[in-house]
Amino acid sequence: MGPMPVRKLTSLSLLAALSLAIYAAESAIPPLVPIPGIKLGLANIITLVVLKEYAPPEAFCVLSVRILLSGLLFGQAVSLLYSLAGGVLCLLSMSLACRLLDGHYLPLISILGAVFHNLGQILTALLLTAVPGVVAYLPFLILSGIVTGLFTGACARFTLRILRRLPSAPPSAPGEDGAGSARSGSEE
Amino acid sequence: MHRMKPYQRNALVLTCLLLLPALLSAVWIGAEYLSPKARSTESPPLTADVYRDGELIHTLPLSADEKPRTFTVNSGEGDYNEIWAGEGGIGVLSASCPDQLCVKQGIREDSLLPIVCLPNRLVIQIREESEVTPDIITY
Repeated sequence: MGPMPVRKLTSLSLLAALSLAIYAAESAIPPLVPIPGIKLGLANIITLVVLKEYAPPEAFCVLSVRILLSGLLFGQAVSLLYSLAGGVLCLLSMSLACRLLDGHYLPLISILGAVFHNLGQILTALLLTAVPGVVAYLPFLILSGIVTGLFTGACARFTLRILRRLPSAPPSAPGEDGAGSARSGSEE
Repeated sequence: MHRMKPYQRNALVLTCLLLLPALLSAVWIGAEYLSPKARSTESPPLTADVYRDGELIHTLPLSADEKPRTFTVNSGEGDYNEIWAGEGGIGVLSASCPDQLCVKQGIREDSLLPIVCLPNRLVIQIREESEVTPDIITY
């Protein structure tokens, strides 16, 4: 892999900064339900956008920059572990789903990512607390992942639609044209 | 009917794979919370186990003849959870964690969900004392 073109590097850096800002804004909102692990995961919108516009390696770069910086800026070592486990599982599942679905059905990809993110958090909690009782939270986290994943997936679709209208829009992935995204929008 | 494209077929498969755990979760939650046992007022005597880093550090009976008590669990580097335990319930009064989720979980009176403080790796699990066999085992 050669050096990254400046244009791409700048776009990805901007997106990473954006997702960090979204993450910070979201952590300022008090949790809606007193169940650990349930949150909207708005920063995942950016991960989805990068995954769709670029490829899994680029999404991994943006995600790891966001997680490491947010850990350094606002978090503790423990929350970094949770974010990392959730984030990596989320991205892996979304990359696989994105491939299987040819990049269509963004909310479905997002739901899958959210569910796997929550699965990663439960696994980390299981490892860190070593109390099997924490698995009792799993049904709540699966259902909440479906709801929040649907929401962030819809947000990502709108974000992509707006991004592609910008004159400096990121170059579309090969084999995909502007009409492709409009079509996938009406298909569901 | 025209033939499905591969990605459409995959979407169908993935949706079904997602629906399965979703349905199981919904059934699980429904069964746990709507069961007559969860609603019964005369519950067996409860005991709370307090774990830190997976280690059982306190076992507290929550029966009526126990006096309500407050104590603090320290988890190093100034991190703490102040726990209240009284008749039929236990909860975290204050904690050093940033999200305060353990405090917001309130006073728990049933064995359905443990109270967890992930930043301080603290878990409070209520169990029913009289039962020899647990009603559910989760792994």
